[in-house]
Amino acid sequence: MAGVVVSVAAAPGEFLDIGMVADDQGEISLTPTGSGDYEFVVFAEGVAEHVGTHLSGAEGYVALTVPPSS
Amino acid sequence: MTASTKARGRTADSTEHEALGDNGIATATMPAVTTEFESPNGLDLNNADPDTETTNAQARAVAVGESDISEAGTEGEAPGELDESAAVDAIVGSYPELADSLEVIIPPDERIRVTNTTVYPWRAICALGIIAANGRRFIGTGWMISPRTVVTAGHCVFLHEEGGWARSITVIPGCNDALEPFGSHVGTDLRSVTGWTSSKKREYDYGAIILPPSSRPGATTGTFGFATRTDSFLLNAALNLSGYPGDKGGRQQWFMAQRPKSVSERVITYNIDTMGGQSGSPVWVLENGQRYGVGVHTNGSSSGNSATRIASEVFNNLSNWKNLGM
Repeated sequence: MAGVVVSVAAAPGEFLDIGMVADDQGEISLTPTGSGDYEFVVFAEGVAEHVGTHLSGAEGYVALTVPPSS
Repeated sequence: MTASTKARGRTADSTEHEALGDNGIATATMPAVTTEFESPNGLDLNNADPDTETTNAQARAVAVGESDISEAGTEGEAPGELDESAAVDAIVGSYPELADSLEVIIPPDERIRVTNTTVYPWRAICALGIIAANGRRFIGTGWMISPRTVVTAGHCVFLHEEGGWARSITVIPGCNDALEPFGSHVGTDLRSVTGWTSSKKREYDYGAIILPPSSRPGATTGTFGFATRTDSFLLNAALNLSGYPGDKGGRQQWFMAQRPKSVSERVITYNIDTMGGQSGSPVWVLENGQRYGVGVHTNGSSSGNSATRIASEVFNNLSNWKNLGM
């Protein structure tokens, strides 16, 4: 999933509006803005899909993997 | 990402008025300005002035200036330049894409695709491909203010969690899917201020890319002006924002305009829809035919997206960086 563009669509608190490009392992890095539900938009091959996850906010820095099915 | 009711068109005249909310944030809105909507288709304690310029090459001292000041932009020399009526075609031609977008963003999504990015001012807005110091890649947006100077967010040039200064940034003015009508330019000479690079304060999140002497896209695309404006002016102004959102792949330009929700000394907050990849986008006013950037889009939030406001110290740094790229 290298080259997939991932954007934060919703997060607890204020977040930087930069887009993240998945690396060769399909990973992006993210600094959580707080505890709660995060929603991402994953853009690949002309299609955008919403993906959600929950982060505790305790992590200072996390790596998320874009699933191959996205 | 945020949803709200929005109105387009020229703002109405009325008595100027301003009210301050909690924490000195101005929130009241009484129309009294002459701006128009576009028609497209933490402080460093070791440093007294957090707006002190910093660079990946060398630090520079910067003077502090006045408020309510302007630098004009230019429309450039590119062939095929069209007038405002042609720009309206971009709106009409874009509604199919707008309809599609309702499926991929929290509705109502009022963004409009700019289908013709070869006309001013859209061609002066650039897609950015960012390679961080640790090799990770990101996308953002920038805007030309001189032949070689691209304004963007501080976090597009200095990424704290990714090793600091970006390794390189590819600048594509007027990018439109596979089309790169004004070429692709790689910049490694980056600028920001210590309020961002050292203190990571949201209010100081702005920066610039100075392209090498061999790359002068702004001479062809034209450039944005930039200006400081009062709270009352901004609260009643039609704010325009256009950039390269990641949910569209980062190579299509999307536009939206609206009046702000609130302004503070260093931040403008609005319900203009944005998405990751639009960091660094110009937030501008169309005033008597001139485009003036008044903010640099940086943040998303469910309570309102926001830009770093071009305050007088920001203006002075932009002026300095503009001169570096002449």
